[in-house]
Amino acid sequence: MKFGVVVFPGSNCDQDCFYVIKDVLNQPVEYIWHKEAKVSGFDCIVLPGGFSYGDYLRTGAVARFSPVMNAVKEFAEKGGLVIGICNGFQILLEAGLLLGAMLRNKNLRFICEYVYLKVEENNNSFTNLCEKKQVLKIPIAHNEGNYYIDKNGLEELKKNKQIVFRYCSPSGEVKEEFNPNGAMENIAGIINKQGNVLGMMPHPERCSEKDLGSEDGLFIFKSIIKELV
Amino acid sequence: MSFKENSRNPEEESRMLEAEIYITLKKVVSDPQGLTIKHALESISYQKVIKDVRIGKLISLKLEINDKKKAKILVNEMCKKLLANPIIEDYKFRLTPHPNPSSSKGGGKR
Repeated sequence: MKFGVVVFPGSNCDQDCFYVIKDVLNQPVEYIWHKEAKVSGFDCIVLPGGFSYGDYLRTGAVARFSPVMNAVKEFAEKGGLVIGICNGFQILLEAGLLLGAMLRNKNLRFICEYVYLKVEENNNSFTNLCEKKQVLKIPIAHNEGNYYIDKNGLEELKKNKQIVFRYCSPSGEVKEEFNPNGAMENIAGIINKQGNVLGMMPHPERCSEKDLGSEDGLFIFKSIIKELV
Repeated sequence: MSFKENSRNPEEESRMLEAEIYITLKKVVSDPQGLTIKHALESISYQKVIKDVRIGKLISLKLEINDKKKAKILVNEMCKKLLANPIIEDYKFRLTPHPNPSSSKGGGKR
C-alpha cells in the first residue's frame, strides 16, 4: 500500500504527516506536488494542514483549483481513501468533496491546544480501531474551525452517520463549554456519504508518538492501514 | 495643469469595465468579527445608535470587455466558482465603465 501526501504552496504539516507514515508506521509514502495533474499507485491520499495560498480569499478556496485536486476528486470517486487534516479539511469542503463550510473561530482567536474528541462512528476506514464513544486526545491549531452546514445538510449528516468526531470533555461529554471554536454541534470531523473521504480539524500527525504527549493520532492512521491491508 | 487628451481614445475608454463585488456572510451565519466590532463601537460611545455590524469584502475587478451583458454573466460565474462561497456568502456587484489606464501614458505635456 502507498500513501501520498499532497503539498500545496503554503502547506506546512506535510512533513509531519510524511514522518508519521514513513518513520513511525513504516509505510511507503510519497509527496505529491500540487501541480501533478494525475495521481496513480496510491491507496490513501493525505491533504495536510497549513496555510495553502496564505488562506487568501478564504481558507482552501484557491487550493481547491490546484491541478492535483482534479486527480484527488477522481481518486475519491473511484473509492480511494482521502484524509484532509485541518487546511486539508478546509480544501475538501471548498472542493465539494465534503459538505459544509468553515467560518472564523467564534472567539476570533487562533487556537492551538490539545482537545478531546468523542468518536461518534467507528464503522468506517478511519476509526475502525476505535471503540464507539472512545475519547481521543488530539491537538488543534486553527483560526477557521467553526464548522457550518445548513439545516438540511446537518440532517443528512446525522441520517447517514457522517459525523465522526465531536469536541468533548475528557470524559466524553459533548457540551458547548468543550467546543473550542463554535463549530456547529461540536463537529470536529466528518466523512462523505460514500465513507472514503474524511475531514478533521485536529492534527493526528502531531500526536502519534508517546514523547509528544499523546499517541491517539495513531488510531486514525492505523485504522486506515487496517482498511487497506 | 492639464495634459492633452488626444491619446485617450473613446473606443479604448469603453473597452474596460470595472466590477465592484460585495461579498457578505449570509444572514443566517454568525459573524463573530461583526460582533466584536459592534462591541468596539459601543465602547467608544456609539452604543446608543449601533444596532448591528456585519463585516464583508469588496473585490474590484477590471475587465477588458465592453459588453455589459457578457460581463455580467462572467462576473456571476466568477463569484459562484471562486470569489464567494455560496454556502455561507451572498454577493452582489455593479459594473461601471472604466477608462483605459494606458491612455494616461505618453500623450500630453504637464
